[in-house]
Amino acid sequence: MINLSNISGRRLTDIHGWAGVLFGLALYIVVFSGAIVVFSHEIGAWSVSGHKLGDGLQGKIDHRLVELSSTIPEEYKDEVGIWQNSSGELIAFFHTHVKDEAGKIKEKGTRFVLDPNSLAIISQLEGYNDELPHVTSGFLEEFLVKLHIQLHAPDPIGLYLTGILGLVLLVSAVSGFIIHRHLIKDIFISPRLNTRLLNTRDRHNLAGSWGLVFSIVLAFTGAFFSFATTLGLPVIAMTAFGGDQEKAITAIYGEPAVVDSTPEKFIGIEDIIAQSKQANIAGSDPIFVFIEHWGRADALVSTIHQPSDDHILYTTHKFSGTTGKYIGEKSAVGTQPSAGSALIGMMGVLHFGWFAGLFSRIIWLSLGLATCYVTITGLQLWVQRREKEERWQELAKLIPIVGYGLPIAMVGAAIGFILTYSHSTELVESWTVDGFLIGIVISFIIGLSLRTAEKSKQVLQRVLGVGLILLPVIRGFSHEIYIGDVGIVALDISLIISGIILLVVSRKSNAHFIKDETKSKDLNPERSAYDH
Amino acid sequence: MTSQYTPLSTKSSVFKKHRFWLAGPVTLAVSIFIMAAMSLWFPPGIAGVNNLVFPLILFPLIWAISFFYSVLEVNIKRAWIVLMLVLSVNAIPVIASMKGWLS
Repeated sequence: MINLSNISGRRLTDIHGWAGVLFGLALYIVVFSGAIVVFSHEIGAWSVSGHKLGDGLQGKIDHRLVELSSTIPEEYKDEVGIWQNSSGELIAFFHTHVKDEAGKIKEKGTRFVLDPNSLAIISQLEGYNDELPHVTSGFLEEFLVKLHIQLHAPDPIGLYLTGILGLVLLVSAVSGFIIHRHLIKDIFISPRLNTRLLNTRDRHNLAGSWGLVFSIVLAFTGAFFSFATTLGLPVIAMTAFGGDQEKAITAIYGEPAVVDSTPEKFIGIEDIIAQSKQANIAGSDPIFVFIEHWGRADALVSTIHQPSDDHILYTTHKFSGTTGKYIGEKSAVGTQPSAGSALIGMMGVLHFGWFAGLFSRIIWLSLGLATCYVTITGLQLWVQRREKEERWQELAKLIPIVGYGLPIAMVGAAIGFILTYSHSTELVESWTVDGFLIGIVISFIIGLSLRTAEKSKQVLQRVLGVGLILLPVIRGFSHEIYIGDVGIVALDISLIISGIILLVVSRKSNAHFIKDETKSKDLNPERSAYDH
Repeated sequence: MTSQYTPLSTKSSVFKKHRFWLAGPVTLAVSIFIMAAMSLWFPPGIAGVNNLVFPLILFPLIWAISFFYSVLEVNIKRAWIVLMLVLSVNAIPVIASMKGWLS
C-alpha cells in the first residue's frame, strides 16, 4: 500500500473510476482483440483450414523469381519482400519508393501471390502498397489485427486512438496500484458471495492484482507502438533532422555500406535460406526474405527469423546478393548492435509475448483476458454503486452488449469469411466486414430489447456459446475437413470447449448472493475507504 | 486551491479546474518537448541511434510521470512552476535546433 494524503487518494480514485467509465469499453475492445491476435497466425491458418501443401519459401523458387523479375519494370527491382502468409501462399512484392501526389514517400511495385506448391500466379497486382487489395487468404487475420492496432479508423487517427487508450490503461493500472489497499492479500482473495457488489469488487481486485504488472507492460509497449511512428518520429525528425523524416529513418535503419549500381547477376535465395538455417547463423526457417538492389553489384539479402530457443528476439541476417556470402547479423535499428536496438526488439517481445513460444503466448492470452475482466468488472462496480441513478443504468445495459458483442461480432466476421472464402476477394472482404457488423447489430438488439443487464448477459452468453460451437462445424462443411495440422484441431477443440463453458455459465443466476445490495457498505467499512 | 477537494463527479465543470489543464494539455506538451529535446542531448552510442530510439521508447513513461506528478502534487502552484520550468528548459534547445541556431 502506498500512503497518500486523503485528497490525493480521492483524486486518484476519481481518475481511476472516470478513466474506466469514459474509456473502459473502448479499452476493452483494444485489449480483447489484442489478446485474440496473440494467436493471429493460428487463426489465419485455421480460417483457411490449414497451410496449403508445398515447400513455399523453403522450396526451389529461384527460377520462378527470375521469371517474375523479367516481367516487371526495372525500377521495381530496387527492393523485393518475399514471405508466406498464414495460409501458406507465397507473396513476392517487387517495389521501389516514390512520392505520391501529396509528396508522401510510398512503396510502389508489383505484388505476386503464388501457389506454394506449383508456384503458379494466383494474383498479380501493381500499385502503391497501401492501396493494393488484401490477399484474400489472410483477410480474417488482417481484419482482427487491424481492429487491435487502429480500431479500423484511418491512419493515423486509429493509431492515435489506440495510443491514447494505451496511456489510459497505464493510468488505470498505476492508479489502481497506488490506491490499492490490500495488494498481496487480494492476490489470494476468494470473491465473497454476500452481495453482488462485494462479489464484483472482489473479482475486480483479484483479476486486477494478478494482471497488474502485465497491464503496465502492455500499456507501455502498446503506447510506444502507437506513438513511435505517428508522433515520436515526426517530432524527432523535426528537432534533430530539420523536419526530414527520410533522413531520420535512414539514421535509424542505416545506409547501405557500399553503393555500387554496376549490373551483376543476382545469386538467388535458395542457398542463402539454407545457410541461414544453420545452427551457427539463425538455426531456424526465415519467415521473411528481403532483397535490396536485385541485379546490382551491391545487392543484399536479409533473412528475418522468429524468436527461437536460442534467440529471445527476432533476428535479421545479411548475405551478399551476388556471392551469397554471409555478412553478419543486422541490428533492429542502426548498423551496429546498441542498447536502443535491443530495447526496440524487447518492446515487441513484451507486447506480443513471444519470449517463450507457445507457453508465453498462452499466458499473454490469459492475462489479456484477465485485463478485459478487470475493465468489465470495474464498469459493473461503477454502475452497481449507482443502481438508483437512472442515467447510469444505460451504461449497465451497454456493458454486456459490448462485453459479449465484440466476441459475437468476431465470430460473425469469421463465419462471413469462411462461407465466402472460395469466392472473389471483394465478396470475402465485404462479408467478413458484414459478418462483424451483423454480430454487433444482433448484440445491440438483444441487449436493448431485454429489461435487465443480467438477462441480456445470459442471452448474449448463449448466443456467443452457440456461435463458438458452430464455427468449427461451419469450417468443416465449407472447406475440406483438415486434420493434418494440430493447431487447427486444437483451435477447433478450444472453440467448442469455450462455447460449452459459456452455455453452462449462462444457466447460473445471481440468486446465490445472500444479502441485500444496499447493506454492502456496512460489511467491511475499511475496504470502502477509496472505493468509488 | 487544494484545501477543499471536490470530486470530479460533481456538477462543477472539470474544464474550469487548473489541474485538468495541467494534467491534460500541459503534461502532453511537456512530454513531447522532453522527447524532442532528448534527441539532442542523449548520448547516441556507438551505433548512433540511442538518442533517436530512447526518446521514442521513453515517451509513454515520461508522460505517465508528468501526469501523476501533476495529479498528486498537493500544491498546484508548485506543480505549475515545476512543469513550466521543465517545459521551458526542454523547449529552448528544441526551438534553437529547429531554427538552425545549433548548427
